Amino acid sequence: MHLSPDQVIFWQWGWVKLNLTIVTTWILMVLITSLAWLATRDLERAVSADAPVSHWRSVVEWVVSLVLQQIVEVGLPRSEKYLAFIGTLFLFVASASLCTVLPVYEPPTGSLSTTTALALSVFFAVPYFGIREQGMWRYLQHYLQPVPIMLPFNIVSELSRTLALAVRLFGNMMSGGMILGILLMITPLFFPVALKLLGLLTGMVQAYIFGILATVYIAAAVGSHETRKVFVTKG
Amino acid sequence: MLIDWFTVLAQVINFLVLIALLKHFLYRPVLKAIAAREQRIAHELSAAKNAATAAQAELAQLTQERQTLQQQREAVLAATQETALAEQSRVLAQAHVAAQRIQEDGRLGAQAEFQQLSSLIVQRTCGEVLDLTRRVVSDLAQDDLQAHMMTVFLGRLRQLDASQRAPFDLLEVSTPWHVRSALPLSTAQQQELMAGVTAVFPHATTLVFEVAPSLVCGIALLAGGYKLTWNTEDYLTQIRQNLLALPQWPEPAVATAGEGS
Repeated sequence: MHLSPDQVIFWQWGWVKLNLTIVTTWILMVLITSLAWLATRDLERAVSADAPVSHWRSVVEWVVSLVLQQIVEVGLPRSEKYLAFIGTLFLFVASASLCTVLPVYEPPTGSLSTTTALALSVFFAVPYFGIREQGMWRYLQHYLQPVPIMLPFNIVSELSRTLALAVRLFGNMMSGGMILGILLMITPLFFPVALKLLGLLTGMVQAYIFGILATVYIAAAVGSHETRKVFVTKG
Repeated sequence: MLIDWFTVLAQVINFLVLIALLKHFLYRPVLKAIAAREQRIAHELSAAKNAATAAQAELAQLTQERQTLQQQREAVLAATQETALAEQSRVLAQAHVAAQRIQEDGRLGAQAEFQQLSSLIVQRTCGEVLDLTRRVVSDLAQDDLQAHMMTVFLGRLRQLDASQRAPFDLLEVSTPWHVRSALPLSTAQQQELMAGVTAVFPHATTLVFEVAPSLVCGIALLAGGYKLTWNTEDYLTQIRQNLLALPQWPEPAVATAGEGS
């Protein structure tokens, strides 16, 4: 038994290696992209022809609309600007969790490297969106709020929440797989199925939490400025 | 160590590539479709709003037209009613006039019938009375009433004053003189009468004797458009006046306009 899919290495050349995490991620990327392409390949023609909406297309539109709505509810009115980042976070983590129903599948989010990569993405995305909305000077100023002495605490806060993001997702996903493996050895009939369902639910909740927390962090970085711009635009 | 930094770097790159792929294959088409749908819905809503506005305007116009039609209907009804009332008044007036005329005609007809009847009664009465008188005189007194009346006629003829005789004196000799009597005269009576007339009017050479039952009684002399008569006209007039003086003479029944045909 291994703790992380990183430990399953298919090919290695120096420090460059091809492990299970990367391969699974590529498979997930192909799967998600293919499904997206299948759902949207004739979308434009269907919309222009006012053709009846297929079920799959409805599901895809519903998911995208749900993400947009959640972003707005968290405090980012112009949600389309953040849809690609937050939506991809959610879809990747959610699909990684959903695929746990497949046998011999190990989610890439069960690797601390993957969750760290996602957390680092959020860590860099927050100042990226903040600086893009407010400018460098105004964004950096909020580290000095409410008083300049809070600067080290704010920096620690940024780092700790990134660490929390990575560890939380890793812990949940890894623990789910770990407990399932142990239970399969002890009671191979009923409990693994129940725990699998519970793990599925936990994975979806984690995907939601990861996406919402990323949205909250970004909203905190651009929130007041974004809201003011919307008010000015509406006014 | 649980974190493999090469894997971290690869996963970051993978994540960024996935963002790019989904942005191209998922978000952009879906957002475009949503925007197009929202635009279409907004367009349809706008069209529906315009249609509703047009419908409201049409409704208002129809309501206005209905009110106008209602007013016109009421005006036409009022005019028709007024015309009908005028026509009713006119027809009633005509019927009233016709009824009055019928009543008047009836009254005149009854009056004429009464006059005719009274004249007939008077004439019949006089005729019967004279006939009775004649027979009484003839049977009881062995005398002729006609002869007495001729005697009276000749006596009165001789007693004519100048003004009464003047028109007859101016007549020419060739003018025929007509002697009318209710009963036929005998030859002796004709000769006596011719002698009496010639004695008063010498130029009355041509006498024509005629029987006129309408005289009832008496003798009339006509010549040149003038007339001398002695008959029972005065008596008849008196009888007629007495009949007309009857207090109750039934009025003829006259149909009124309101009665059925």
